Amino acid sequence: MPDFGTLAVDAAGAPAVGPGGTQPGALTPATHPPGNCGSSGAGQLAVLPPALHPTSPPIAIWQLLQVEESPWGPFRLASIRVGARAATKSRSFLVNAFVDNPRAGAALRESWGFPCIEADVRLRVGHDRISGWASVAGAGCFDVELEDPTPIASGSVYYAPSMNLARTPRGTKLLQVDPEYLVKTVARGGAQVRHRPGAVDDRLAPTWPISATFATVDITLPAIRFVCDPDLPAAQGTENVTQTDS
Amino acid sequence: MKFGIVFEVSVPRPFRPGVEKMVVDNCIEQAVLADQLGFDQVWAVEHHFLEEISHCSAPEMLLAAIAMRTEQIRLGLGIAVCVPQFSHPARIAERAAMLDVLSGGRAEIGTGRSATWTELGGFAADPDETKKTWDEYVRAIPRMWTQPTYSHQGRSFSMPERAIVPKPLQDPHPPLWVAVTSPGTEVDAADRGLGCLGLVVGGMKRQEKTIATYRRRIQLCDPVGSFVNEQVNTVNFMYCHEDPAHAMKRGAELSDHFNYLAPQQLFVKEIYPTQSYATDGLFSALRQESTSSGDSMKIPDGIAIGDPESLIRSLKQWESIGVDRVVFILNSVETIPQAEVLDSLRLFAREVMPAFGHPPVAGSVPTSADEVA
Repeated sequence: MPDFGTLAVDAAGAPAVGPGGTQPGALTPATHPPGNCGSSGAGQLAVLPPALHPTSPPIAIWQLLQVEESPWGPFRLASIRVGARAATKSRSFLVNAFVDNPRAGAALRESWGFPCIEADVRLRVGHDRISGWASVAGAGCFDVELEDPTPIASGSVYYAPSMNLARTPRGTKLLQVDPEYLVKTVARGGAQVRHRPGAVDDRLAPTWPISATFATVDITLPAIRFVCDPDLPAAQGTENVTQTDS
Repeated sequence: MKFGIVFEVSVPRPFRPGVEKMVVDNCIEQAVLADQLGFDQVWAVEHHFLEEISHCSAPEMLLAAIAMRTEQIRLGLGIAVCVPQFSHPARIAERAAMLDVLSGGRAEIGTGRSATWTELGGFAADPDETKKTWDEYVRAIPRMWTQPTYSHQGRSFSMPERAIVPKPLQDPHPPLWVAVTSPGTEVDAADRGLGCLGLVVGGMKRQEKTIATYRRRIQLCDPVGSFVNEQVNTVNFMYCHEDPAHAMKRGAELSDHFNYLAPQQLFVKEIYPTQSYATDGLFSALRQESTSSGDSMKIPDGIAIGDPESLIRSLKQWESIGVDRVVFILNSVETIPQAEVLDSLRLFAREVMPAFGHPPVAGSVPTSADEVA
């Protein structure tokens, strides 16, 4: 049996998701540059809840999302995710989220369990490089850069559904957020990721940049369909909530 | 139809001292028995860095040990990863030739390019290049075996004129295969006159289409070797027991463990988008399942798990769509006790293989009772 995460789940800091489920939200068009990096295996285990396995090898995904249209107006979201498996299924566990629009932050927090904090999130798109960064109260948290973007087929890119820790009427749960992506363009290039020690979880310090992509996509955030007990293996602790919540 | 076995060398956690030796010893014992029972081939995979699911990073050494203890069974090396960061092609040619010499001409060589970032990233290989390097390797290796000396100026490797020795014992050289997991690779196999080593477990409908394409296309091939190896070899699980309920229970444990461990690796498409690793069989299955809640796994049609009669039915189906050989995964992380694995092999040889034209097993094969005594 593969290793499980060892995070002592503390619900206190997790977003509270209201009763009554969520309604889909369309985010269009959006640009989506993630940088993929290796990170230390021990660090990955320590930030994952016991429901999830780490990927082999461990990876962290440093991601920026710039949304031109949404129910809450335009916004930018920076996030840090850890590659994971819920039993055999590909997932990413959302560790940090920074958003520059308070309305969007509240919606993402209350409907989908994104642990959003207000931040300054920027994206600069060039032909030679694409850069993005997040800072809180003037202090940089992390920045990502894609160097030498080269177009690739839109079907080549894959985004794993996200697992977000949240307090729900059912108790503390991992919410499975599996957005629908309509990918229009994708470019791939070299990745550079830097983080400011202490600003984000140092256990995820990037050690080995793998790739960076820049995609133009339409994203639809779905209603939550599955939740999972963070302390039980996902194969045992997953519930379908579409039949019972409305 | 010919039958064989394949070793992933999957090792259960915790990785206590001696546990890998226990697994390897069990593999060798299975191979020795398979040889005595009339199985045709034993394959050993090449994987790197895949904890639990495969600790078989030096398959030629495992096969050499098996070669020294067996007489008839053919030895499948592979797939050998044809990527420069893993191995220079001359090293693959040398190792395969030495295995052929050691075994008295029983080697077969599978080729491929790896599908996981776990492995490719571990060697800092470029996923965009692996199809091209594989192509260069499969054209080079037969010439390394058959020419007195070899030199090459190429894309993925270059070398001045050298004698690559030893030469294989088989004349002109061992059969060459390629792993076929991504759609379209069957065409690559056919165009080059290579055997089609279908690694997708199950999926009979898809395999039928793949085989038909392969058979049609190979008629027009430009072989990379000295002969055309038109054969289709698929991989399957196998657990055979007289009691169908027990067989299903044990077989489900085997396939469930394997299917649970395989997706824990990081696939190229997840982390390094490239057309060179477009959606393939294993990964698309993973992706398809990734948005569902996790239904319990079932044993699909065509899997060789059950009593002898049901195995004959399943394998006859494979035979009817053009499969020449089936190689079986017998265990995963030692889920099934070794004695039961050996009994399953014996029962398969006694009850199933004769239905495919294999002669009855000779009476001198040791039984589990002999082992206890």
